[in-house]
Amino acid sequence: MSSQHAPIRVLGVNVETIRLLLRAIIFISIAGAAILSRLFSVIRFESIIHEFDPWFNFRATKYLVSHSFYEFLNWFDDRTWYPLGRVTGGTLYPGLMVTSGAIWHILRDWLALPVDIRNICVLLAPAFSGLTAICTYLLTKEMKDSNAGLLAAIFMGIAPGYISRSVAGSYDNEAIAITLLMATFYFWIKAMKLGSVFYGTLTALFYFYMVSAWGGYVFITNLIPLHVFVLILMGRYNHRLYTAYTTWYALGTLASMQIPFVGFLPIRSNDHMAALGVFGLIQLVSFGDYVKSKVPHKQFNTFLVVSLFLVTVLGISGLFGLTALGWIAPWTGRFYSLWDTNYAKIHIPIIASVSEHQPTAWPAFFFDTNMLIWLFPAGLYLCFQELKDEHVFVIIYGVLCAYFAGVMVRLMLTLTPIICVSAAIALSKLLDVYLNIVDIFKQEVSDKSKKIKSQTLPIFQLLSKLIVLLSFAFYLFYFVLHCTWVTSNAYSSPSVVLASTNPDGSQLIIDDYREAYYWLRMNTPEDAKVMAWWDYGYQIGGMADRTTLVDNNTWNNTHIATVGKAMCSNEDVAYKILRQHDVDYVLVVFGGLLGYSGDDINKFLWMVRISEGIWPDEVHERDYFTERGEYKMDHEASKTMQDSLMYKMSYYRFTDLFNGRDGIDRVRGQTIPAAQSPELNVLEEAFTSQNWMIRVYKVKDLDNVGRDLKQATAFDKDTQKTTKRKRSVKKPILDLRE
Amino acid sequence: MRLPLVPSCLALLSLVTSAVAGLSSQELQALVRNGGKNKAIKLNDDNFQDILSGPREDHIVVLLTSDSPKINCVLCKEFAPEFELVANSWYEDHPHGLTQKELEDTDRDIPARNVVFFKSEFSESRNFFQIFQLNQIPKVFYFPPSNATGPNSFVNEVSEYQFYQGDHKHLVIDWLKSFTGHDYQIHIPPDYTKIATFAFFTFTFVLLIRKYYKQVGQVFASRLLWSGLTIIAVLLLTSGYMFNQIRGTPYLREQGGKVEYFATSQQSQYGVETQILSFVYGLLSLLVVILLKTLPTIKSDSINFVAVVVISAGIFVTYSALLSIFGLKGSGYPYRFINIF
Amino acid sequence: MIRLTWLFAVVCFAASVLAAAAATPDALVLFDPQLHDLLSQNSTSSLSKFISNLELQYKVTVKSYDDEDIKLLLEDDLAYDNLVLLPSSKKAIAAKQAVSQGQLLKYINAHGNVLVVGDATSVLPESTRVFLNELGIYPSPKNFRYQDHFHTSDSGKVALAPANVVAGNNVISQLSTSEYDGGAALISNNELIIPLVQSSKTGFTAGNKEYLDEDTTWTFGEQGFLAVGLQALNNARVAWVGSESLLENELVQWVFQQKGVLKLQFVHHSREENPAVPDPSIYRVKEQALYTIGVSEWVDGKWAPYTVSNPENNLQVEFKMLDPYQRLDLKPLGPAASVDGLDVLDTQVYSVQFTVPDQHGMFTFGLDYKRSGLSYLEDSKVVTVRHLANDEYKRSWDITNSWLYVASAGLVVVAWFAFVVNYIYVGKTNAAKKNI
Repeated sequence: MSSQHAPIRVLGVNVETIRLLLRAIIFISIAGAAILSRLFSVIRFESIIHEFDPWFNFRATKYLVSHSFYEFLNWFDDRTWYPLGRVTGGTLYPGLMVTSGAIWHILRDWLALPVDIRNICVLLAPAFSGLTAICTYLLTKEMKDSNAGLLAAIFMGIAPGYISRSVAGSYDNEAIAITLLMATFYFWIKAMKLGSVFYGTLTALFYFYMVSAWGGYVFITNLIPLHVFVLILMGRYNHRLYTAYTTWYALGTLASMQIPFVGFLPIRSNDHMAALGVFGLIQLVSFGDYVKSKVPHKQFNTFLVVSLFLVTVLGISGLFGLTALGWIAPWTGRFYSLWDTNYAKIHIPIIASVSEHQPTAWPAFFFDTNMLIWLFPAGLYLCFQELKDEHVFVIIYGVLCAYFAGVMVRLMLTLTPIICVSAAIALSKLLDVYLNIVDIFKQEVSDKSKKIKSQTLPIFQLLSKLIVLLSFAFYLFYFVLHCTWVTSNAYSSPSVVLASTNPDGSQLIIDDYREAYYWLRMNTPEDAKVMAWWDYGYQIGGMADRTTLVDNNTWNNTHIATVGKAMCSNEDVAYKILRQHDVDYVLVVFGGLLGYSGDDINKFLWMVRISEGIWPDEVHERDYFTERGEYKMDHEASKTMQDSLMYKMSYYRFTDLFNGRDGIDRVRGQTIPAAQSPELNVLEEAFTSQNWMIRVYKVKDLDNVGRDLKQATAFDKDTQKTTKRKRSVKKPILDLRE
Repeated sequence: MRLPLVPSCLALLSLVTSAVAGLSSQELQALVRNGGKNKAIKLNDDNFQDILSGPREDHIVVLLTSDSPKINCVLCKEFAPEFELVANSWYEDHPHGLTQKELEDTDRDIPARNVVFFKSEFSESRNFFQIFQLNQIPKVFYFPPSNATGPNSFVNEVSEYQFYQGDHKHLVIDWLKSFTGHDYQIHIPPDYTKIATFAFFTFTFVLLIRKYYKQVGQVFASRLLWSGLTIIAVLLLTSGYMFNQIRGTPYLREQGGKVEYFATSQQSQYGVETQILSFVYGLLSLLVVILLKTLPTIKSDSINFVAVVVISAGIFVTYSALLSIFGLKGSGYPYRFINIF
Repeated sequence: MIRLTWLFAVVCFAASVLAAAAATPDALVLFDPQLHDLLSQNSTSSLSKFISNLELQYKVTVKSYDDEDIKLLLEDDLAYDNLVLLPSSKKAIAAKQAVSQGQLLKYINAHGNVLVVGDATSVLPESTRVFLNELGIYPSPKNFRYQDHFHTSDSGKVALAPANVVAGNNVISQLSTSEYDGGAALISNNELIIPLVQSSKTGFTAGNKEYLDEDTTWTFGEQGFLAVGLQALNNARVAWVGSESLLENELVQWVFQQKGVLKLQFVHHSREENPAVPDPSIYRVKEQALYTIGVSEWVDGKWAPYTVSNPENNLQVEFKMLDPYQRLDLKPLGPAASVDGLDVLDTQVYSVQFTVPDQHGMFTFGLDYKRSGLSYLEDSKVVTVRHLANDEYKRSWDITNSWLYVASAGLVVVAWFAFVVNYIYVGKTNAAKKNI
């Protein structure tokens, strides 16, 4: 339209140039906002890696930059899962580490900027969030126009649902995966629209990057085929679709198989069968299409029915047969738990024990997306109105992810982008309608030409537009306030360092974790083996640099159960396990003094459950409850509970803090009787942090003269006492000598 | 070994009359056979002394439970069918109790005796529950054969089943096996009604599709239907529908006569919240759609203006309500538009 | 940790051995002047003879239990290498602080050796008795005497036969005395105890009462022991004898670390293909590994190669990760010098070669040699066994089975290329025709 007219000029500058300039400024602002809002934690605390998994990623990245890529690829990690070790190079998604390693090398070798690898890791997620905004812009532009794109970009930049996983220091796979997810989808939409091999290849390329970065790539692997499948069902098959899909599938699958951790999964695991099935289907459809163009209608119908029937029967029986034969692996547990929501609870306590895998209550949705959550259905409605091929994609993505996010809190992350896109479509449509003031005057001009007398300003029209615009401007302003508040209050704690407030209102930093980890690092031999519950494995490996028995990569259930058993058994049983695994130190987290609810006693039942899964004869969950079935630590605590190593390690000398009176556990609000203060024979206290949050115990050696450790401890205690009673010599009661 | 009718009636009579001595094995078997389809006999305040006190010939297993909605015992409801399945399966294998040959088998470690299953409902057996001073249910008690006499003699002979995690059918069987020495099979009765209904519906479904092929096709291709379904699904899912499904949350909570509609925690919710919230989201979405689809089609400026004012006010009020509800969830959330609650 | 303990043990061991080699080892003898008169020169009792025998080899200090200046330990070091505790007339002694049970245990833990001599008519100091009880040795109390009416010597004492010596103890091979007059001890199940001389089936220990019952007897039959040794995990040695007549020279040599003393001179492992690089920290699955150790025995004041006489006593190495994957006998290679450049062949080299299992993980080369009467040899070295790297598998062309697949893949490529050429160039004429 504009090409027919002379270009409009404002102040002598081409309006297109202004538009470009504005767009650039807007982009820079969006990226700035996205990055800056993620820096709360760095400013409040310091440049530090957060939480649990990021510590492993950080450690792996350090390994990568200090070794060659070949060594990284074949890395056998002998500092975790002692004594099994972990084939780390083959069981991780290297994308994240390679990305930061590459940035590190570029900065260092090309730009001569020797930046600490830690700072790169800390700031990687905010940096990529800027890119995510741009990718979201491109994707949304394909759905509607660049106005919607800009809106989607700013939503994506500051939506808390995405910030929660990408604040500075949250160095996790998701940090770059969401960017890649958006990029892959953008290229897919582009390829599908144009039927372009080039874009199909780009899709495959980004898909490969995504596979290398995050296990969530399976989402793409299933979503794109589903999109294609629905389009075929809707009778929208065309050659563009065929070209795009086959290009992506062939290249993407081959590329993804190059990641050692993925290997042959794309052709052997059920998670990937949908993509393969649709690949086959699209060949058949295309063949049918060809036949249809060559044979008469009637014959074709018969052909269609017969071949459809055959294909279905063959496909299903083939899938079942191959699964039964073991050629195709059945669904992975995590994947299965998405569909059968009780599956994990019954079969895989480890998955069920992770708080990220809990279902989502509605406040979380609102918390993470604010007004976008109610613009989301409106956006979907608009997509239905238009219903082009790419809108089908938005709808499928939206519904599927809404389900996933409802089942698992952590999948909120994949839902957020589509909420942003959809809401942006709705809002930009609204703005299209109400921001267009030019139309009013244009209308008037046309009215004039029709010689109608109305000369007054269209005051009603202007007012109604103003009302809508102002109210939505207000909502958007409030949206920004909300996002900032949520980010600063909920998502910016490193969880390694805790913040609390003193009675006088000043901030108190609780740094027990690092205190204990550095104690381990400085005071224990370098090859010391530290046993702790798996939550702390990555942190011990990363911060204390000591060998651990289990960590957050929960690949071996039995080994975790072994640790659980050592924690929940009595000293004699536990000591055997500790000796067998060469354990030197045991670390527990105890929140009773401080009131820190995420401590090991509160996780204890999971340890019991997981070990009960392996040793149902020896460990019984019921034994850890009181007679009345309560979970108690006070004088009512069951005998098994009081004898368990975990109980003893947590409350050892706890009542000493209360001058021999009963102690008060602030997490559980229970009284620990001084008379019940546990005795430790096989362990000795090595370190307790300032607020008693971390307690480290040293495992005693075998007694030099062959006594059992209980006797030895009693003897040591006895000799310390100065008063000695006279003993008459009595004949000992002895077992038969073997 | 079928007992003639008269003695079995006598046995029933004696149940009412005899208050001192426990029932004999034959009497119990008769009781079971007359008990109807469900083989776990009711144990209540009227009959528990007869059955449990005094010398007992049989192994007696009692489930103490309650179906009452007042007590709302989830485990009871889960466990009771499994217990009854074990009981019914036992009687399916031994419709007349153990045969004479089995009873006289001397090779066993534990002498062969019949097993009798009972189920005791709290509301009907308050005295019985009182004797054990129970604080929690369900409980499964086992009473061995005994020669002790006198009322309440059974109290000291009881063994209790521990509710460990796992499949209770098999856990109960293992537990019983350790006392009685019997082998138990499980027979899950096929649910014929379910199969029949399923077959019927499939049949009609196929028939209807064949007949109204065109119409069905139209419905399936209907954009309205799909968009409606999609949006309803999304509204439900984003307001915590799956949370209710997985956690089995209560619809609402009554506390001291006051009805609580909103759980005061970010991490939990009641069933009604999903309904309220999906309505609020839906309303807001609808208003936005009206704002951008319907209103521009109104020709008259003034009517348009009024409509815009009404709709905008509607959005504002609804959104305020949403924020207020969110504030109720108690997270120190500072933002409100107007304070509704 | 195990490695650390071992290191500690080796250091202690080395220290004591060095001391032994450099200076004559010293010994402290504690006695009760009311029972024995050891300080005067002209005493002729058997104990004086024993002490003068000791003085030939050791620097002996003799002190009374009443001497309050006794110090067993100087800070954490040993004041004397060896300690002999003689019977006392009363339970309470003046030096009870210095010779308390705690001090005695510390003394053992610091690698000191203790020889306790019992007696039927006197007592052990209370602390010594508690100390022995702690180890699992329960000597009979005062006035309990070991008796055996079926084996009596001419002088009315109990006669000892060679059968009383516990077989295979590696400490005492035979008894020089045939008469016994003293107490007996019960012993606990402590695995470190080495029974030396055992009561016969008909022997028992009883007090001076006329009748026998639970209170007046201490041991019955073979549950009683007349001499008991114990070797602590740090190789410190303790022995108790029920009577001074059992103070065999062999036993004293054993307690004082002159007999049955072994030393691990070195422990090395390496890849078989590259033995020049010792103790690599990482192996690959299915590699050939070589494990070599040098063991010496202390013979007549110097180290000599230790040869295993009996196949039961073979040295073994375990290659284990939670469970042993390999447990192999070490084969003797011959004597060698423990230190490079030393011209004396003072150690016996044992070695074994094996295949690392096809299982990655942290494996331990574990040597755990515990034979009754011999010093314990313990060593564990943790190594990493890694998986095959991505380029260490066989290439496809090395596997004959794969040729078919490789060829067919190549064929498809060629065929596709031919098809494209055909489609574009050969088919073009038709397309051109159609267009016309």
